[in-house]
Amino acid sequence: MNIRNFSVIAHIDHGKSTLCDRFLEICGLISPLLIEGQALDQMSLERERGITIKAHPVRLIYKKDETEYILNLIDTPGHVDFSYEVSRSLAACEGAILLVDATQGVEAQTLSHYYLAKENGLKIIPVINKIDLPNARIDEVKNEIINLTQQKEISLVSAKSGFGVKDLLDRIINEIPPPDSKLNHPLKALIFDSHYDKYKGVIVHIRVFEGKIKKGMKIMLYSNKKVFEVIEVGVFELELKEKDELTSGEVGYFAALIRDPKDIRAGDTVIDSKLQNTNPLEGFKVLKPVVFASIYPAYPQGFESLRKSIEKLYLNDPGFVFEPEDSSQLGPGFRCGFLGSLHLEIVEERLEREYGENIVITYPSTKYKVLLTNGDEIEITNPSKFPDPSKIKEVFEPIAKVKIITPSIYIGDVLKLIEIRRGKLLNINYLDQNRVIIEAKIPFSKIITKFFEDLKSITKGFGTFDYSIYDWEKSDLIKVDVLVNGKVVDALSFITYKDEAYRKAKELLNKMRKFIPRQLFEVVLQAKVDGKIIARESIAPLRKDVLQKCYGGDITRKKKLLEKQKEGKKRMKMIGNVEIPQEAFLSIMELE
Amino acid sequence: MNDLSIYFHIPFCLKKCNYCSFYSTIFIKEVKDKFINSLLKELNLNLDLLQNYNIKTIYFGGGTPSILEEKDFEKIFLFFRNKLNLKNLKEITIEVNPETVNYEKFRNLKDFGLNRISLGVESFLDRSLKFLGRVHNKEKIFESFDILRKLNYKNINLDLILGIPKESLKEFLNNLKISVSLNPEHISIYSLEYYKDSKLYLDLINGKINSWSKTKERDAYKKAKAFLEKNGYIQYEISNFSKPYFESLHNLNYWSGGEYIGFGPKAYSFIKGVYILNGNLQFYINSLSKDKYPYVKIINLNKEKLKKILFILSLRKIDGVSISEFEKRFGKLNIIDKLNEYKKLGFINFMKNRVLLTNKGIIVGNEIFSDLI
Repeated sequence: MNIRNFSVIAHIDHGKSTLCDRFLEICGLISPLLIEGQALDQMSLERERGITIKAHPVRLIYKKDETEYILNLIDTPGHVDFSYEVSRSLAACEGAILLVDATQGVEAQTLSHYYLAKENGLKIIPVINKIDLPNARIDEVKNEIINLTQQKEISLVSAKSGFGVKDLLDRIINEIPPPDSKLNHPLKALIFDSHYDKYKGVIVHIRVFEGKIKKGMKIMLYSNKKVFEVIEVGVFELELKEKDELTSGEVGYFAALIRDPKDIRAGDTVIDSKLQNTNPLEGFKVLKPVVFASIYPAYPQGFESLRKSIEKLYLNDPGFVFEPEDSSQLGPGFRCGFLGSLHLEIVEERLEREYGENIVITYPSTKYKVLLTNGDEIEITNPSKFPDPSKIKEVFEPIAKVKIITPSIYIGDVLKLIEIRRGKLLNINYLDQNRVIIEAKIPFSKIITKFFEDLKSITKGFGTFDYSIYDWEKSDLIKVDVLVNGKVVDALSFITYKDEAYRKAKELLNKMRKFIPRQLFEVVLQAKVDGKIIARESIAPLRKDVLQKCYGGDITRKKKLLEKQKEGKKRMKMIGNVEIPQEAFLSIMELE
Repeated sequence: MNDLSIYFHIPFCLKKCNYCSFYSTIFIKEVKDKFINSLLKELNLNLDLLQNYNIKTIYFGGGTPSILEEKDFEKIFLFFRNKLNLKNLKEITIEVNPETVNYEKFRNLKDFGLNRISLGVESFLDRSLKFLGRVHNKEKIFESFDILRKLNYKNINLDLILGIPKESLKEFLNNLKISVSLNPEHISIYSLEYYKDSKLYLDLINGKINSWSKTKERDAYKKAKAFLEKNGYIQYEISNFSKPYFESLHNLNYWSGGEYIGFGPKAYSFIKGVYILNGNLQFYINSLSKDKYPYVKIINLNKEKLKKILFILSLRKIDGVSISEFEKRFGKLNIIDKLNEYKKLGFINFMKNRVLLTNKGIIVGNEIFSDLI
């Protein structure tokens, strides 16, 4: 079969999207003149951050020695939070290009993606990109790749100029095996992604492994046994292109008027509904959020609009989960789950920028297991639901295994960071003379707030990291409540280590104090643990705020000033009768 | 017929003060003459309207209205005397810069019927006057006050500014003492406001000067109020104090939601529930040369908004607002719940059928007004 299914795996910013653009260009799908940024990164946010969040597949036609080949390029997300999506995309391929920046070398996500590809049994083609940059370290990077992959044949390209890209396409055809043809088997297709279309419902991205899928066919989703009738199948060009059928080995999509995106989960298997006793393809896992936070409209009248935006966002982000929540102080909002802290940030930014929402987001928390004195075990994802200390026997927290790659001169600082974050060093290995891989286990809660920023700053931008959650450990954790004029603000409660509670509470109140404007009365902020107040700050009442002069000509001017003042207040949250600006809520995010 | 107040905006100054954001230009005689012609045209254009009101008060503000020549005032007053019924006219005020006071001129002005003077004192410290960019000095204040009293002006207001940078609390209170020693009928105290288009605002944001702390302002305000009350001045509005029966009728009309017409460039009118703004001097002269109204903005607020504005304006008066009277004039007040909340916090009081700010409430008036608007 003249089909090759492959992915490009790389660390952020190593030039994956630019390389993909070159592929598209060589295969005539886009004109070089039309390329403004990168054709596959559709979301503006992705382009701005230079990272790909979602995998966009594309089908290329490439001619080699008078033969036409179909190349299905399955783009993968480049970030640590999305490793499951990466692994599902890889499962749809036979091969992968391991792309490494000649100026940066092997980095944390290069490693993790490489191992994922290996686990999936893919043929790996190592490629060094950006070889024309003056600070390219081609020989060193070659050595790093050889050490990692044991492969000596490494392609050199400049995705920017196009150098070496055509040779790379030839190499893909020669080295990546074509898919096995199992056309006479019953249908088995792997779902690796999806997106939502107003008219056709969920557009399901699939790799057909066995049999075929076509319009009118009744299919079943293996995980939930739901049956749908296919209304359209097709392949990915820059836009969707309808086809009669998709057969074994092909990558494409189908639509079946699936209205609830929750029905479609990456990794699930699509089978023929008449042949229900087939085994699924391997590797299905329900995406489990690991970071949780609540999102509220900045002012109450914004709730309906926020609800619509969150629902829309959810359709294109299956890793994001949400459920309505009602905070006694902040009013109606949503408790949301994310795949990691970057994912949280992306959702936050998309809500604000793409959907124009004005939101308040609470301190991110992870999931805790609490063993109660009555023997029950419960999972806590929302600090406000943390049980009373008298009912708790033990608390367990998730532990992440973290891989950090850094120039060796920063080892000392990185070890200090690990220690500050309550981590334990597992081992240090030299990647080459100048760079090391540090492995450590760190409580997951300690890497969801500002860990990456801190790592970046102590390693002057060179450090990279990757993590996976692998264990639960017993910990001395307690809940800190924040009170505003005697009322607990559940959205500000957080779970922390006993020995850090006082410092964190003090710091938080101090920060909040600076953001809360003086009001007509004194505002008292308190932090409470187990019924005891451990910190207190107060905001003195407004001393003077009056318009001194107001005559005929001033009236409309003063009206404007007063309206502006009122508008400013609308942006605040009312806790009791205290007005609290968003910044005060956000100050909790700065805590470490 | 409804009562009406008339305001003239005289947009000329010898020199612009550093804190001022009112519309004014440097005095040039030829421009001033054109302006006076335009002003008379504007009056004539509004003749029908004026004839349908009881004119209660006239006020010359600015700018520096006392910069005009006697013949300019004469023209204006001739218009009034010849064409309008003035039997209800009670008060004619002029804002006066001490620098512009001379015996002859103010004798003539008195003959035209001017009966109230608002003297822009601001401070008795020469250092402060210089800082504010005033053209007069302390001596000139005494001199002008003396002339005005000799001419038998019986209703004089002194304007003072609270919060001049580098002025101590003691120095401010001393200004007040000197003012009281002159025995004027009326004293106004304004907080120095840093308007966006003033020089002081730029100095403030560039860190060249420091404003008074809110605590210092509050203390000064409290002490000033106590001192004035001890000396027989009654506070009748947030920043206005007077001896009994010497309240400014013109300004009370603003705060009671009365109608007024403003003549001159950048003057506002409030007629039949609508705010109207005139254009700047050039636009003003141009429009009137073509016998057109010099309006640049007509603000027709919805009824609810207008009601709220008039309510908070009335709340500026120390005796507050009569709820029944207000509702009779403007319709039902929908903010009683909020008012009750403020009462609980001690910022407002209900007395008989009136609602009024307490002393505690006056200090934080803006916070309350912005909530009610």
